Amino acid sequence: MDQRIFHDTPGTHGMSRRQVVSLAALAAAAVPLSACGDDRKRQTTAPAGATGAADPDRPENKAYPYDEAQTLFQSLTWPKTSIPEPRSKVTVTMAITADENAQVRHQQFTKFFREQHPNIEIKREITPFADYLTKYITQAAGGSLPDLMYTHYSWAQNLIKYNILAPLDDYISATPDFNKSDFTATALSFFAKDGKQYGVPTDSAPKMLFYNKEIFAKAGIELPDSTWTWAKLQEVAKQLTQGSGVNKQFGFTPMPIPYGDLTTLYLLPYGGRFLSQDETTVTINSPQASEALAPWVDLQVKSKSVPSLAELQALENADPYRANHSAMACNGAWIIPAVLSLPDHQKFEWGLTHLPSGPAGRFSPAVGSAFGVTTKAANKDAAWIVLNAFLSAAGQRFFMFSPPARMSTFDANLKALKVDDQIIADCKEALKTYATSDGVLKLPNTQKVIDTAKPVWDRVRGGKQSLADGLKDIAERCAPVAKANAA
Amino acid sequence: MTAYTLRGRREARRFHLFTTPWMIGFVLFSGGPIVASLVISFTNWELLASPHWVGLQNYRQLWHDPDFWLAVKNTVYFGAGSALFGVAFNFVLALMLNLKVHGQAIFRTIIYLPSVLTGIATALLWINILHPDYGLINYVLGLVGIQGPGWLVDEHWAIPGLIIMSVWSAGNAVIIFLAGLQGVPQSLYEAAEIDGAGWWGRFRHVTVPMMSPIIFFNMIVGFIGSLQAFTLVLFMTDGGPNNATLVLGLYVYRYAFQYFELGYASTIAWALFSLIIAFTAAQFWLARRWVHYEFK
Repeated sequence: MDQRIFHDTPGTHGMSRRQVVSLAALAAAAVPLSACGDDRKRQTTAPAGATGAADPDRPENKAYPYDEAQTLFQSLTWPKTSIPEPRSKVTVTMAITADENAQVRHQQFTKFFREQHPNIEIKREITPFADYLTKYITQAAGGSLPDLMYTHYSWAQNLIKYNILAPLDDYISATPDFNKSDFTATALSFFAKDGKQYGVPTDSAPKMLFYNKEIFAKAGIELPDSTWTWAKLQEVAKQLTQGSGVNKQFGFTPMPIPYGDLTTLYLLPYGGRFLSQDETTVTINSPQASEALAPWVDLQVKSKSVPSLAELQALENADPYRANHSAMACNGAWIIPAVLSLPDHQKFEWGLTHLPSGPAGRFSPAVGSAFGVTTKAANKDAAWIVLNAFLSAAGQRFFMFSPPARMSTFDANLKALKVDDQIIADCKEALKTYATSDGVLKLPNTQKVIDTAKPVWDRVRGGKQSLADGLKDIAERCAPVAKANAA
Repeated sequence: MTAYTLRGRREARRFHLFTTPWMIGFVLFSGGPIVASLVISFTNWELLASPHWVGLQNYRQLWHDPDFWLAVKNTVYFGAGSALFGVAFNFVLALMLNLKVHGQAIFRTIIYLPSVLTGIATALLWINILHPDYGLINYVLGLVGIQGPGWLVDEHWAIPGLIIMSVWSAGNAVIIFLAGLQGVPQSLYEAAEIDGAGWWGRFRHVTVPMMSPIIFFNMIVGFIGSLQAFTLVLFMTDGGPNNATLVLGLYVYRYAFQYFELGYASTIAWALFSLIIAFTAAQFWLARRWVHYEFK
């Protein structure tokens, strides 16, 4: 080995230690320019082989036994379309984000679907939710996309804007069985632009008021119902707050924060808005928004009835309601399966009712996800045949979306989970009467608006800045960001 | 002479043969992207739309971006704190591990163990250790009558909390220090002892000067690594509370992979690169005053 590289020997031409250190420093400094590495994302990637346990000829697990799946599949009426079947074998690639259980269901669907459509092979690409958008936006930039892809409501307008999702209207017209009216207008709206439909919704659920019956019974307070106002909820939340540290019982969770549904959930009932309807101007610095948010700041700072950032950390960012630490919670009806499947030591008597109303009325954001055919799809017709079956009433029943976007399967899917009839009725009523997409932020700059507003809101909820100053500050900082939505 | 030339040629051939894979990898996966990122920094590329040349607009925007300057301040605070505290702490650890005591190998293994933990496991552990209510650190402080701070949820204590955590998993630096300590010639200590130097004198006039290149190396590498902090910050605080832990690495990530503004993200990355180069150059300049090389 040539020692010159390692030692400062006088009279040689090797590298000095100083030079070695310099080179090492330069190489290390160059890293941020060549790679924006994201270890966190790598860490959250599903373990290899997590989906490989199921027998490909007979995919099943405890949640989805094969025989039951086959019986259910065969009992359902699958839709037809006038789009012709491919004459030779084609493969439809489908980008999904799914947990282990759902992956098994997809395997079962693929197998049974192939028996009906022998020339169509479905090939799934499974990506964790946290990585999904980055992966497919990057892939789209490289000019390659799967035939069918999942989209969250908050991504859809971006995917449409950048021509990733293709309009489905011609296919829908060619499919009388599609029954577009089976979806609520709200569910469809997130995936539509300029009168064209780019996605078929999988699920759509309103946010509702969940409560812990045991906490109410212990305090001798009547359970919430549809007559409640937000003011009444805030008063009761104060009364139900007790304890400290890890034994803290909150009156309500979560503390409102400037997220995508702040307007619909907390501001519209008072006539306020975070951003204007077209999402290009900031309107949070208004008397209405102030009137809506002031009691929440009091609940956070004075009575400590809603979890602070530190208290959330104490719960390791678990939902305080599901961790049995909160009397009430405002959350989407999509958490019903999770509440039903809580481990025994965490189970509690729970109930659900309509969201409270405010002086300007009652509102609930109804959001969900969808699938669409991509513009780069190699087999668009075959992709539609798959999508049409997958998100038909039969498909939504087979996949047990809870709650599903198709109203015709709403009752059946929730009843299969043994959800109380009154809860199902309340959710449906909410969807039909006051659930809306109005106020839910969905334009491209939403994340930037949230990231800009959040630090200011952290100060307000921490009691370090007044609400009035905070709202003014948020309005000033977010104005140029929201304005960019007009582009 | 001929033999030397032949041997020299053979050596040169081997040198090129063995360095070629690395050179190819560097050009394809580092050098290429570095050049590309410089070009992209002069565009407003939104990833899915075609990039448009905007000249210095991104750099002007950067100059007037208050969040960028906040991120610079946080990055330097974390980088300097983590590097200086880390070097001092690891040097002391290495000195202790260099003592000839029973169970020396076990102690060395224990000190090195945190380095093999993955970032997320480390983050989860430290979220609990730094927890204001039931965390180990505040519990210990409570035993001596001190009410511990909110650490990661208090904007004044979030970066100190991250610095403490970063020091914990620096076993690699300890190994380098240990190797250096074992390379200090015993004769120098003996000579110092004959001259009447006590333990402090030997440490100050023999150990520190002889170890100064190693201290310098660890400082440079530690500083550069800390300035690029990203994963743990993203996972533990995501820049909060109140942007108190918004560091440049996280700012690049947000613009690149949350807002998909690759042009501006590249501009921030180049600003980070410039910052690292400036600090590294300053350290090299200062090193002339305190780093002792055995042979010049």
